[in-house]
Amino acid sequence: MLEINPTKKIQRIDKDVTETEVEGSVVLLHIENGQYYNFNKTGSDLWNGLAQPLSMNELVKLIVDKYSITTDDCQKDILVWLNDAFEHKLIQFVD
Amino acid sequence: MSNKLIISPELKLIIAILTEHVDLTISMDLNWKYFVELLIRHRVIEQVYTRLKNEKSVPESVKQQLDVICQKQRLHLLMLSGEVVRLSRRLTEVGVNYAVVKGVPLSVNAYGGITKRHCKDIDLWVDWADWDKAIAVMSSCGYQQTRPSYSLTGFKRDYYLKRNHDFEFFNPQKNVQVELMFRVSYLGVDFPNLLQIPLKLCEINDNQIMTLDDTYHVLLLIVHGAIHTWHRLRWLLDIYLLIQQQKIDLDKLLVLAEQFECQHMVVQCLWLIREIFGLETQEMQLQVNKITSKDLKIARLLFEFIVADYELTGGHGIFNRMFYKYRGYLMQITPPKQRWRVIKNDLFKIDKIFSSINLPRGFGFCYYLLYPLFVLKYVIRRNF
Repeated sequence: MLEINPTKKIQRIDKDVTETEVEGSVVLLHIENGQYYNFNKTGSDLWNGLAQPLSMNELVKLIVDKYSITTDDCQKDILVWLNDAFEHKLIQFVD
Repeated sequence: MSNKLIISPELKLIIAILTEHVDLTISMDLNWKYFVELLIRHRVIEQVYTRLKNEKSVPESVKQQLDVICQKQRLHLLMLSGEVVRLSRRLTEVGVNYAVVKGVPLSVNAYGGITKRHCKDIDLWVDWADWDKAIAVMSSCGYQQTRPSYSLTGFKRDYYLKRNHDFEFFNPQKNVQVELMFRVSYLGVDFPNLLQIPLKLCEINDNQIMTLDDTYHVLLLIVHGAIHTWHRLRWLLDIYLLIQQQKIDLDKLLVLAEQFECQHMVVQCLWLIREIFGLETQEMQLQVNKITSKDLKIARLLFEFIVADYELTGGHGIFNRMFYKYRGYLMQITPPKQRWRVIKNDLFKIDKIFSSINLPRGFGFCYYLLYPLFVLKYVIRRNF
């Protein structure tokens, strides 16, 4: 699993995807590999949040503020989500 | 609206939603099955469902049906827009001049999003000089040519390139169809070479694709709508929205239309927008008030095509009275000098037999002699 500095800013890579909303959740299509990504509500919040550069700590705060979830659980889940998103080249670190 | 023009309550509701009437009156007596059929035919499900999904008076089964269609449509539109970007990138990489017309850029320009307007395929216009390079790009992107379905050599090649303006491709993995056009020509309205047309950029998620300049694009939409008798409300809605958002310079459009000898199509379109959607700007009023009695007669016929059920009752084959009405209409909107060409192409669609018959070089004229036999076979096979 990728080591993620909790203060380093991350942003989504918009130019490689097109997106729409289905049943209130974000669905992405990766332009080059033609793969669909169907996010759940939290994933959609993370994706929408990453329209602007945010650190992992800021993402955790975003989700903890919105849902009744402990910070520890939230951090674990977000780390998994970010790893998946990095692996599929949907997000990148920004300076 | 004129008294003689009758619109069903189902279509009236659709129009009220499309024109964003604040107070919707939803009758309990509506035929919902017919309503859904109309939405499918007019390709306006997304706009109507977005408005109706929270209406209590709409049966749940109807909402569910529309929801399923909308979700499927959005996923397909997502794929189409992805492919528009991917193909645009590849064409740019190899230096091909192109423009994406209708479809995705129109959806972004008139509806504000890539999944807000239904479309079935991608229309890509490339310059003839770049044709071979464009074909190579299509192939490298996983597209197979589906039309023409026969190899283009000799007589068949000359015939096809003279009468058609596009090739059709399909990507089976992505379920995406592309019409690759090398010229735009409808009923004697011949658009200039792509290189002579001003283009503009359209933004799709941080990507820029090329499309036509607004005036040319709108004129192309109007000619396209006219040739298809405007029988899908979506085509008229496109123009309505662009006028409403002041994205059409009517004066420039009319100057261009005059140059291409299709002002009558523009005026008929404006009349239809006024009659059906109730929109009339000051600029529109000036033009619509000048409508000639001939154009008014044609516009009324178009209205009949829009509200007619013919597409829902077996299409307009040669046994349907609409078939003959349609031919009559085509003759009326075609410039007199081009009528013979249109009649000939319509009566002798000899390319329909190209895939099954191969005649030796120099015998191309025999396709014309064989074609009536093909029509006869079609008539005999049909059960009366």
